[in-house]
Amino acid sequence: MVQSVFLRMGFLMARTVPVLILLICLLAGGGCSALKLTIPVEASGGDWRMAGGDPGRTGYIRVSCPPPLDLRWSADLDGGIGSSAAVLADSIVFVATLHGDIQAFMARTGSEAGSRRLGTAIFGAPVVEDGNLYTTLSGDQNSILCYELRSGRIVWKAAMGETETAPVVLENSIVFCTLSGSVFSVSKKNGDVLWKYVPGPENHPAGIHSSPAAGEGTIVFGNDEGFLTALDASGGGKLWTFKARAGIIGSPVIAGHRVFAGSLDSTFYAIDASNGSLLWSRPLGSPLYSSPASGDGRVVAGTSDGRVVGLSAASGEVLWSFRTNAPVNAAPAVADTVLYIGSLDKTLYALGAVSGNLVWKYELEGRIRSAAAVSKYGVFVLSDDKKISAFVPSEHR
Amino acid sequence: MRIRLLQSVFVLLFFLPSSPVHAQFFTFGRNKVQYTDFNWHVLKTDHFDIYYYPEMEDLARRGAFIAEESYRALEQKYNHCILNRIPLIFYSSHLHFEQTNTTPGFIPEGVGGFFEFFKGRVVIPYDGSMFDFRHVIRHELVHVFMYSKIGRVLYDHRMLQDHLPPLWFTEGLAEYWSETWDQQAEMVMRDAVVSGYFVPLSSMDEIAGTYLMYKEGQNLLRFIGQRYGDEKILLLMENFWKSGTFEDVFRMTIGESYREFDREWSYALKKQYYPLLAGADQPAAVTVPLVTEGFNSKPVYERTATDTTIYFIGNHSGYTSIYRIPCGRSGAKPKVVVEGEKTDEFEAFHPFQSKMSISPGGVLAFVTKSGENDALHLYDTRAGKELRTIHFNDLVVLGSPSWSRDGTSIVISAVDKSGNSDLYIWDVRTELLTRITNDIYDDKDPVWSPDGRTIVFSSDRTSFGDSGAYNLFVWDTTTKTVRYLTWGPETYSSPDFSPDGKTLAFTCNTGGARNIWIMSVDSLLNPGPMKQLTHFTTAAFDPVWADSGIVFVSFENFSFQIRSVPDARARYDTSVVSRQGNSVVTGPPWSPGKLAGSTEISALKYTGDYSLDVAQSQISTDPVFGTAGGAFLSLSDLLGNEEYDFLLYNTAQSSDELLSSFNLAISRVSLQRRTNFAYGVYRFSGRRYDLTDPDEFFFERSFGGYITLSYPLSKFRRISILTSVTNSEKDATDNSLNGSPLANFDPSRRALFLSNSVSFTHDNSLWGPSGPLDGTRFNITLAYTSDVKYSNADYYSVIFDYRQYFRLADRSAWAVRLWLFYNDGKEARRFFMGGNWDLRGYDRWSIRGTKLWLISNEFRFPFLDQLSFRFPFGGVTFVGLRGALFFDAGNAWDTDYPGTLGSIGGGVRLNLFGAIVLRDDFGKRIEDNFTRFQQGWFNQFFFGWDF
Repeated sequence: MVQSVFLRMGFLMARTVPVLILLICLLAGGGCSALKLTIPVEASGGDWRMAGGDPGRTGYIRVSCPPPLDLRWSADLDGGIGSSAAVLADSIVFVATLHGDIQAFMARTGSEAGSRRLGTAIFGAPVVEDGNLYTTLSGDQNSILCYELRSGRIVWKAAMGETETAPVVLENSIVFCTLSGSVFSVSKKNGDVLWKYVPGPENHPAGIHSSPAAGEGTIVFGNDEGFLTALDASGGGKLWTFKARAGIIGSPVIAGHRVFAGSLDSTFYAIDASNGSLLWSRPLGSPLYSSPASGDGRVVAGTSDGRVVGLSAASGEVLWSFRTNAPVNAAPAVADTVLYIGSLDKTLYALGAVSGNLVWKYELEGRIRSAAAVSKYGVFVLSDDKKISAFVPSEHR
Repeated sequence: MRIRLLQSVFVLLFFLPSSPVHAQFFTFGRNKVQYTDFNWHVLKTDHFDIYYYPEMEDLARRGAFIAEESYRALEQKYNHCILNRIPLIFYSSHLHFEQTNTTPGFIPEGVGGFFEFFKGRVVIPYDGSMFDFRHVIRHELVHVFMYSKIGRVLYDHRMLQDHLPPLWFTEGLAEYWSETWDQQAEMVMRDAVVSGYFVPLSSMDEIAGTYLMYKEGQNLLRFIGQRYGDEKILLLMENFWKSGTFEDVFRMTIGESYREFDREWSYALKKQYYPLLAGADQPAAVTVPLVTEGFNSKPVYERTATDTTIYFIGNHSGYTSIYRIPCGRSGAKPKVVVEGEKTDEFEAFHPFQSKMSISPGGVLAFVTKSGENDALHLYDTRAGKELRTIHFNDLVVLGSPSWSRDGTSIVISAVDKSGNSDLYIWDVRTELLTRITNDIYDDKDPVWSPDGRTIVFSSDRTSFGDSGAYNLFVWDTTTKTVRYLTWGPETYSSPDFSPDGKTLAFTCNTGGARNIWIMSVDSLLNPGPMKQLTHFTTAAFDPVWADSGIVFVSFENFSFQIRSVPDARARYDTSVVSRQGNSVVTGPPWSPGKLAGSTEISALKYTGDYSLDVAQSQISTDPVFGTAGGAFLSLSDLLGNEEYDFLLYNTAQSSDELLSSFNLAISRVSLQRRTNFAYGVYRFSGRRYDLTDPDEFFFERSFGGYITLSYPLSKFRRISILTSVTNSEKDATDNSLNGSPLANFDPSRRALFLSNSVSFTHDNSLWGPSGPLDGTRFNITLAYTSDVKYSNADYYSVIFDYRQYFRLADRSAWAVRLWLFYNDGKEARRFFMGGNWDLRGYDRWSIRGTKLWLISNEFRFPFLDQLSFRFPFGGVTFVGLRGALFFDAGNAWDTDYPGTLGSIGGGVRLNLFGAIVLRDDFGKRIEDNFTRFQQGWFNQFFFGWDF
């Protein structure tokens, strides 16, 4: 009888101990996830370090990544994806999720380099520079923080209000917009506020869902009321405003002394970056949620009726149009002569940047809402089935 | 029907092994009759699987076009796309739609379609109007997109997809993004603001689910859209993850609390609508009331040598019926002429769609749903009896019959199986039915001209039909051609000729409100000017000439009343011309789009596409029965016609019992045809506690099978039969050996039961918050059960259950119930009663016997309409508390009648959210064979609906 009891206990132990260990591991793992890189992160010119690839959000990068592409790896993400893309620094891909995580993957292999929960939700793509990661936060007490990748510690954080856009990095500062309509410039070093722009009633305060772009000494952003505003990058003074007929949700692009922006009024605008005057406008027939890309005399925009439209940057003339099967929310990313863009139809398209012709496409399992990040390591795409997929030029071309 | 049959099956599964006939568990309820044998096909488009039957293929292709067009529009509105194919189930008429098995409940006439998000199905009937069809398709697709969008937002943030925005938002948006601001929306909002019953956003819960909520929600979101842009509405959905309460989400997104927003919204509405009173009136201020209580519609006027009478469709008691009142006597109490919704013949009226007509000889023509299709009824108002009921085989829905002045023919609008709404003339003498229009346009409200040479009707065959406008048209009996009588982007409807045939009254919504207009029609080829008779802030419907006056239905204070303008003719003669006649102006009718046969489309015959309805596994522990674990799976096809249920569980208490303690049941339930059936096999094993023998536990192993059929004779009556075979091995357990109920098995009975039963059920009851208030419920069941192998059991059963409800006032009734249950034979089962559900004052199920009788009398009345508690942290409100006074008598026995038991007392019932009724009864038992009252009082609290 006693033996029987011990046998039963032994059986119980044999079954329960591993479960307990597993539970402890899960609890421990859930409570102390880490993003601590053991290798230095040295950003280079071929990296896609922030939303839009550069401070002007041009979406153009001078690397060669020609299609056809092969799917090299894919990995699960801890949460959904906001409007901004993955970013690359050195050989590491960083992804911010709507669950408030930053996840890092080795670009070549897809092996996870670490993850860290930093807040409630992160909408905009982070910026990686000088071994630090800067990210904005939503639904959280803090607005922005600086995370040191080598030590895995938060260097500084600052609370200025909720933000759902990506920050833009300048030489010594980080600039970001808040949902309440303010713009802050903080020191990269310690998060101190360098200047802030809080619009009074005369400056049409409204929520901001448009990530700011930087260039030509200005910061440009759109707001939910359709105002495109340019601030002096050094002091935060207002330089000019331009009014569209409906909200500007996508990030503007600053390229070649011009600011390009699409509006929910279904029109695409080109503005003189120096004074805010309208250079040209082009009705595109459906609201524009996507951020554009611009380079080589062209500007490309995605529309909510599923088109990708190439325009002349000089005149706004429609050069080409390509139709996908669902709204296009993602910003285009142009690598040399190839334009990569994802659609809510789950497909990543590669188009000729000059002709708009379809060169290659690949259907994923989830909708693509954010721009592809392009680098010498390949093309990295986030989809709303909570996956990151890495594509590399095919070896069987 | 589906619920009832499923309930029967599960009752059988659990009670068959021990008691093959337990008819006292049979439930009442009306029948969802599958009159029509649909031959389903599937049309595949880019984003939809469209289910249709061949008779309506053309309509299905038009619906497919609308669906794809709507999808593209909503894709942009939502900035979102749907990843899966959307099942879209079309019916060509509302009567066909009412037969759907995609939802188990009954579908009221007012339901234009629904989105069922469990399987993602959209189910929509066609009502003859392509504009309405487009509206409903888009309305339901707004729901599909919203459900997907909200689900995506919550999924992105790793939150449970277990809640949606409040109903005012979901339905308000579905209206806002599916149609333009139409006359009905305008009518309701004008009335709400001017009459002062407008409900602000902060109190919107009070009108949840009502039509007013739909329209206020639509107006509110329109206000937000105009003020901030539609992207703000989208942002409300994108921000849905930020808080568990939508009010917080609203405040974060709009920047105002509900109360702050209310100030601006209500001010804007007042500013918009109050100025209307400068040029228009509310109907009650300027017209004569005839019927102001209840819901009223479709009046007709009759003059005899001695009387003038108005007949109308009304709902004053819960049942929609035809009433009459003497004309000109304000405040006269309406009398029921034809009582509806209680019998097979007058199953349902169409109070919003179908007018009535009375012949010079006093024969009232009206339509009701009667069985599979609508029927035309001819009722002699002078003799007070129905003359004829006419069914037209190929016509599903009928509407607005109109007598010719000579009484020889009736023109009527009708929807055939293809969904087309056209006009027909029925010759009363020859019974020949002639179709006079045949196209996709919605032709309705036909009326004979007094000279019998033309028919005037309302139709969307106008150039403005695309925007939902209807013009008046003339059909010429000689040339058999149709031409315009009115022309414009408004809606003209309900024409009615004056007795002299020189003027035509109708309604027109020029200026936003539907008012009564009169046109001179000395010559229909060259009609005279139109003059606006009424200038109401809200609306007028169904004008009919009553000699020189006009009787009509007014909408005001959210009620439909019958009113009159006694001097209409005189007003017409003296008023100024509002608009010249339009007969010379014509234009081509609009042309609704149709998805052509492209390579993207394929039409296939439907084969059952099964998916999971319920999957549940559970482990439970009971102090008596120990631990049991199991799983239940239920699969059904997309149309809900066929269902398979699987039940598997194990009650083993030790490893050696494992194999012998498996319980398994597999059932198939078929609801596709009129005769519903279910069959299955089962194997049960385990300890049981017999409710009828409270001192007996036993262990039983049984296996067998059953088949049951249910044939609905009508919505109110059905016949059900059941046959089962069960092999049972029952071991009594001696419970005196406490602690080891398994220790003393005494194999006491083996049996092979063959059980047959047949039952008849009738139910036309009308329910209030706690139970029925009107109508009759009746069930009689005969059953015979025998042990065909061992002769251990052999008994028969008779169940008689009759319940009658006598309405005393709108919300009070006297209810009577009579039970006579009789089981007799070897091992006959005992019945049981006692407690709140039957014989009150006695312990629950404490009175047992193979014979049972019970009579209950109960006076049901409203007790408290609202009970609110306000705490510092919030409040809670209970509505619909009902009271009861009761008197019960009865008893149960085996051999010798022990004397009569009874009770008398009162009680309170509280309906919680429509799902459950809590009931508390108190009173005195009548004991000792009805000779004395108990000392003190009893009090019993339980749950359950009134009998």
